[in-house]
Amino acid sequence: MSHDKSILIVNRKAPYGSAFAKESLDVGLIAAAFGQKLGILFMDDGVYQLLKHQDPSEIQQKNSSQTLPMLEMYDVKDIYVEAESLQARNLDAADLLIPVEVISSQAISELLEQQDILLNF
Amino acid sequence: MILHTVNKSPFQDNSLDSCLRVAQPDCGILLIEDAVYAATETANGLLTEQVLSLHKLYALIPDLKARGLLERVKPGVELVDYDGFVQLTEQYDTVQSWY
Amino acid sequence: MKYSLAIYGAPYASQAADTALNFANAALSRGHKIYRLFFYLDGVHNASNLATPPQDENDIPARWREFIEAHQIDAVVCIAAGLRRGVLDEVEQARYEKTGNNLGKGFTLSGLGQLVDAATHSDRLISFGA
Repeated sequence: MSHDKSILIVNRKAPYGSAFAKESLDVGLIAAAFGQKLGILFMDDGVYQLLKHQDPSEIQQKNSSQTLPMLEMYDVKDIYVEAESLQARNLDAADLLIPVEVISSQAISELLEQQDILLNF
Repeated sequence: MILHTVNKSPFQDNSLDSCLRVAQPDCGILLIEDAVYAATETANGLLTEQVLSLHKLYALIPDLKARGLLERVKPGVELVDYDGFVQLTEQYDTVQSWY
Repeated sequence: MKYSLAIYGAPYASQAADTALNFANAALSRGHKIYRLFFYLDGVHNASNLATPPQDENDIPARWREFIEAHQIDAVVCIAAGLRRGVLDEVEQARYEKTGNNLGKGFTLSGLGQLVDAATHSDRLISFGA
């Protein structure tokens, strides 16, 4: 496995309404377990994946947000959230389950350009 | 430099909107599938003169043709076929898919 | 160049699979290699050999099988996503004691690591989302 390439996972979908959030997190955990240089970006409805107090027990789904702290255990430190997406949804970093770096769309623009590989979910 | 692909109608969701928010000047934006509706003169007018002068806009011919849009494409949007789609992915370093 | 394609859309539910297949053909025509096709999320349904569209309609799973066989392409279906959605090979059929299997010829079930491997070993990885 070559570790020198940088991967950014881009999450833009809300959890539960589709499988994207859950299955994207699985990709993140596998990439991290392989020791891959990895960042994860949440923007648009993807920021809802990070919201506190999720409880999907009555819609027969697993609470994928409970898996989020595992990213830290796997040493994934580069977790980014788009400021404009939070603002548009009347949220801020205090509403989120894990520590993240809130960055502007301008900074995201540069972040995307720095990557070798973009995985879109 | 990134090639962005977008596949949703701008009337359906914010994929193109978000793409334009983070797209760098001089990047390529390829409209495919239902996103080709954005290549026409549309009421919401996301592809303004400013956007068209800032970025290189492309639209996929088979998807335009399928939807009866070939004669409705805005000036400034370049038409490509699948061979052209692949060529764009050769020219740009990475592909960001907005869907 | 070496390309890998990640396909996330089920056939008929969206255009993603058709777009990916057209792209894959065009890439080979331009002299590129395909390192891997990776089917994930609802994209795993492309690997079902039980899809039976009317004869005058586009048989997307059959077109994938022909493409994979003709060009000897590595086509991987995420095993977890496949099992969850009922895409099984003989081994998984036996393991879970199911009444049938449906993984099309040329496809293999494997782990998500194959997506990460494809990403790191290809010059381009392109996601085809639904």
